[in-house]
Amino acid sequence: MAGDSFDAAGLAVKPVLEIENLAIRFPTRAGLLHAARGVSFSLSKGETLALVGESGCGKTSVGLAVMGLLPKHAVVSADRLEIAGTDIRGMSQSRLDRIRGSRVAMVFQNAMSALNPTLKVGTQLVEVMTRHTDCDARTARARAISLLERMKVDRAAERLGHYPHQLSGGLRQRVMLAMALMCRPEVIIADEPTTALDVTVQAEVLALLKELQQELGLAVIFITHDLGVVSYISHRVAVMYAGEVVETGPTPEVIDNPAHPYSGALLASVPRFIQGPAAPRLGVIPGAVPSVMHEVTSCVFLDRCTMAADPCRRGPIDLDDAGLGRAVRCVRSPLRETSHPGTEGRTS
Amino acid sequence: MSAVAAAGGRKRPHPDWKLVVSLAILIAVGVMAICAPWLAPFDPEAQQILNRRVPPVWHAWLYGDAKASLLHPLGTDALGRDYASRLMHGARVPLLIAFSALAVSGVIGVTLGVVAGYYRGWVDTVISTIIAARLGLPIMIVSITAVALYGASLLTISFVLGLLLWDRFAVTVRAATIQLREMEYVEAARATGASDSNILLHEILPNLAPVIAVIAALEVGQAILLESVLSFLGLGVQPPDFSWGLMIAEAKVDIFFDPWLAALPGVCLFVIVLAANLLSEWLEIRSMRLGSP
Amino acid sequence: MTPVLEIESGSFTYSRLDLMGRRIPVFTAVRDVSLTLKDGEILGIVGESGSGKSTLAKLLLGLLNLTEGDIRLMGRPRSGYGRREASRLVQPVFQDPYSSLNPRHSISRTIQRPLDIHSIGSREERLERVRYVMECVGLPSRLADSYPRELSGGQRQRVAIARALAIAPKLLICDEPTSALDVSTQAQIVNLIKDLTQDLGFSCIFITHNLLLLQYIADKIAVMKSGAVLDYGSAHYVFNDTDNPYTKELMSSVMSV
Repeated sequence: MAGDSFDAAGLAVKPVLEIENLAIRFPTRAGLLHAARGVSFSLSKGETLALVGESGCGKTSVGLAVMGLLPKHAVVSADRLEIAGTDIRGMSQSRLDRIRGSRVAMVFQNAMSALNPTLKVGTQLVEVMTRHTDCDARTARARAISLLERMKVDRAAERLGHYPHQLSGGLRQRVMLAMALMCRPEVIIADEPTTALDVTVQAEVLALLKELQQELGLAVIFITHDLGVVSYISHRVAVMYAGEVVETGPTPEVIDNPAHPYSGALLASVPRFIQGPAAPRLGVIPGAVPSVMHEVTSCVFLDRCTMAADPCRRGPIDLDDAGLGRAVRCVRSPLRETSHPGTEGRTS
Repeated sequence: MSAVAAAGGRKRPHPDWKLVVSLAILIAVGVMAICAPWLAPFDPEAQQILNRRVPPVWHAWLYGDAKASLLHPLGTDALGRDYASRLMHGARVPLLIAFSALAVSGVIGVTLGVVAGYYRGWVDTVISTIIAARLGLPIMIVSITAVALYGASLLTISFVLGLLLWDRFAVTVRAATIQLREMEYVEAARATGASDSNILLHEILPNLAPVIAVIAALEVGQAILLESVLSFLGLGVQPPDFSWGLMIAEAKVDIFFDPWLAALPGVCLFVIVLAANLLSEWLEIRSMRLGSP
Repeated sequence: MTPVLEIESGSFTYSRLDLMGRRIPVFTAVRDVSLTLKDGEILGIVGESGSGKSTLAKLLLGLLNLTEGDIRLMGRPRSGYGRREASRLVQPVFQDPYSSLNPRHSISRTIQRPLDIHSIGSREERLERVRYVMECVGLPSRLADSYPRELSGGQRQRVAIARALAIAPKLLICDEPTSALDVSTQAQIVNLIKDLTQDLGFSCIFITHNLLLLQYIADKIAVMKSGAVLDYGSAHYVFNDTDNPYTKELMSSVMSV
């Protein structure tokens, strides 16, 4: 969606992750739940894309879809769902098992429930590697120690003998990060990895993630609801609402100059450092998130948008290229009026 | 809540068959038991020496046995009493005893469980010890002793079973109460100055209802089974009163020649306990889906 | 002007009984905390996990008793109040919208509960009060007979606030009231609480781990760590003029857009 990226020599590099028109539906007792619709984006080496949105927007479902971890009854369809060129649509669990951990790895929010509490940390780290590669246990163990040291975990060798509950929250997240990196995956999906941590610990872990990403050239999908974290950690951002991607673009630009009314309203409701004496007030978005149980027949943000007009009601809105690496799903966006339609870039 | 969490499970083709089947059986048996005097085709005590050991009607269809007919669809016993009528009347004692025992055990178990779970500390220790002691008691020996001391009457048996079956209530209610007392709405009530009894009555007990319902359904089945065992051993109601258990005991001697005499009451027992368990399962799944403790 | 709340050198230590029946201190959750709150003021308490802020909330609500120091409500020591009497002055709003409401009570019954517990007013008067506070917090009256499971997180928090305000307390203790809510819902609730302190005339203690949030609501701020208050002053002071190293560490760790 953002177009090709280029390596140091200026040659176009194929993205490590390509998603086009991903739709995720869950049959439930009450009807069909559209967790994600028409989600498209791509991710290149060394790039962090933030998937940001509030609860129920579909960001976690998308992350799980890329890992092939959605529940069995989920209906997943996509025009394209490729990890490093491998099409994972409809792949069996056993084939996905080989890709998971080795080419794409996930870091979860709650390390205490993601780590096996009955196994020592070292055992779990080593197992990731011995299962996916030809490595023997001794080499894997050495790699585990060196990774933990890179995570700035002191007494790394000793920690391998600890159980997850013996470590602090911040340490557990570092262990999870190390586990994700054991096999040198190309893509990392981090689902709210620091939400449960204290602010000071979060800052450390995120700084670490940033460092590692630059060093190892990781491609990272960072799922979060925290826009402050987004502006710190990501190069590009995709804003999700009611299962759709409503805006994408380079992070600093989206944050300073949001193109979609939802992004703008969301940014206005986020607490931030205020300069100046004026008594501040958080912006509020009237109304509530619409149900995702129906097909889309108009703009999903229609009922809550201050700029709503007739064109917004006519039918589902496409995600349109707005030039300069930005895209927006809004026919009234100020950005669209100044972009140049008809050039490269896909619509979906 | 994420979409994944909200999605639940796939659509089920026949919703809640457990509820329908179990309620149908329980209601049918209940009606049959209550209305037995009017529904039963014959007097269950009427002996017909000429029509002894008439096989059930399907013997005519399957084996061509001429003695079997729709006059006595479930046959007659060794004294020529119509079995269908006896089965219908035979449901009364088990059901009566089961519900009486349920009431007694429910009151004892829930009270002990709630008090232990809410107050914790030494109260909990004492009550947990009592529960452990009760679990250590062999039900049969206690029942035998009680019957030997007080005679086998409906009252005695109901009481004995009630005193022996409360442990499941106590244990689950205690566990649920321990969880519930940590809920923030309980803290909010406490912070508003509500007394303990107020909290127990208005905050805790209503939320225990699903748990209690699940156990109650299970215990009904348990109680019916136990009563039948006691009757089978001759420790339950005595002739001329009868229950399915007693009918099975009387049919013991005929088991090789007229097996239906033992099998039919057995099937009735099986069906009703199955219904109780199904109901209990449905209640449990429903309470899980609604998010109770 | 008597302060609504004063806590002076308050400490709380968890202890257990040993075999001889003596109390053995195990862990000091709150140490030597002194704070004052005037009428209509909003005090923000910020701290990371383990800072003691939730324990402090419980102490202020009377769910726990200080092991040392004093709490005074409206000038009188808290111990001088009966438990019920004190609860008319201080009411809670908790963090988890999913466990702060009794799932078996309707919204109307939940909000009316404090009035029922204190036997305030006639039946009609209680219903009228419930209707009034529902309006104050922006809950449509048609929700009165709904149950918590039918409501969103934001709506449930409004119910929790309405319940707290039903008996017109002088002090609302909000323990992380928006931490489980979406950003946009959080904005609604924060604005609501701020407006209500002015409209209905009560003071508020707003406990959170989100320092940035306090800029939008707090008049005074107390920064807690390991049970102690390390920094305490006006919001302006804490954000601009403080030179407390921990406060500065917190500020630099926070990620703002």
